[in-house]
Amino acid sequence: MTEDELIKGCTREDATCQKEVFQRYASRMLGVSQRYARTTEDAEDILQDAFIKVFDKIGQFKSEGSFEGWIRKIVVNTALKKYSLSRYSKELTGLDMTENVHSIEVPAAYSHLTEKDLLALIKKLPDGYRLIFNLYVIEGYQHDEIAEMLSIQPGTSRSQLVKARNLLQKQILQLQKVAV
Amino acid sequence: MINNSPFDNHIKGEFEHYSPDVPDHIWQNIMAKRDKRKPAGFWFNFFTNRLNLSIIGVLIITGGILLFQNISNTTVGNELNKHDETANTSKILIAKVNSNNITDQPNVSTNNIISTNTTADPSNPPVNNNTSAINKNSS
Repeated sequence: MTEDELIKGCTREDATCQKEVFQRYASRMLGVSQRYARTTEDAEDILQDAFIKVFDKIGQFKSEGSFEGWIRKIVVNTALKKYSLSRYSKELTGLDMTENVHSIEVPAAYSHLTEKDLLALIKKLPDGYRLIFNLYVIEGYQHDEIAEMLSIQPGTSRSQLVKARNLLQKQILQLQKVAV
Repeated sequence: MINNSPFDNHIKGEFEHYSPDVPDHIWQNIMAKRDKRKPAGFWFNFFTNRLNLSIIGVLIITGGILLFQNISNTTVGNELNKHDETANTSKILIAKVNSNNITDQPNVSTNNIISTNTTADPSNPPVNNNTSAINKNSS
């Protein structure tokens, strides 16, 4: 079945088409939600809620962009809503990252890390840092866009990204020390 | 300074094709949640289905035509009935007048018949004209 046929089927609430869409995209979208979520259960909840929204709002999809990109956007927005702004704001003010962080200048220091290792490290980041790191580094959003999405200042987004990166690199270095 | 670009690119590259296994219960949960909201979904589905819409359209048009025909038949029937009633009344009147002529009865009875068929208007008494006409005929 083509993507257009699937979309039309989902608009008619055809269960077969809905299942086909889920089977095609759920795995990649779970990968997205796992990066934003702190726990596996949260990631599954995000995926579940996101697909319900996808099926509810599929009539609003316009074929201007890719269907997968549209689903991905819904997954990201669902994750952002789950980690509410109040919780996020507390973490922004609660952490002090003024200490010097050992920088990783050699790619060999992190190139051996697999996606699972990296995912485990990203999950350890505070919610606010994790959201901004994901949005900027992996999704490719600009600071202005992130600021609008999270209702913060673009400068805050920039500084949080630096702190998130530093914390992540610090964790990688600690992993290396443990390994040695 | 840290060159963040290779670090960011490495992480982005690692997750580009990351697709873990999806537990079966997620799909079951989605279906369970959607089934709870079935009624609205059913009607949405019903009205967005082209076949259903065309059937409803045909039914509405057919019903409309039948209703229109029924109304027009009733109107024509009523008109015919009215004509029949008027004709009957005229026949009765003529018959009465004729019978009066034959029996040479006083004009009082004729006046009574005519006055029952006309609303009383003191300023415009058509009864008198008719009566005079009848009187002329009788004379």
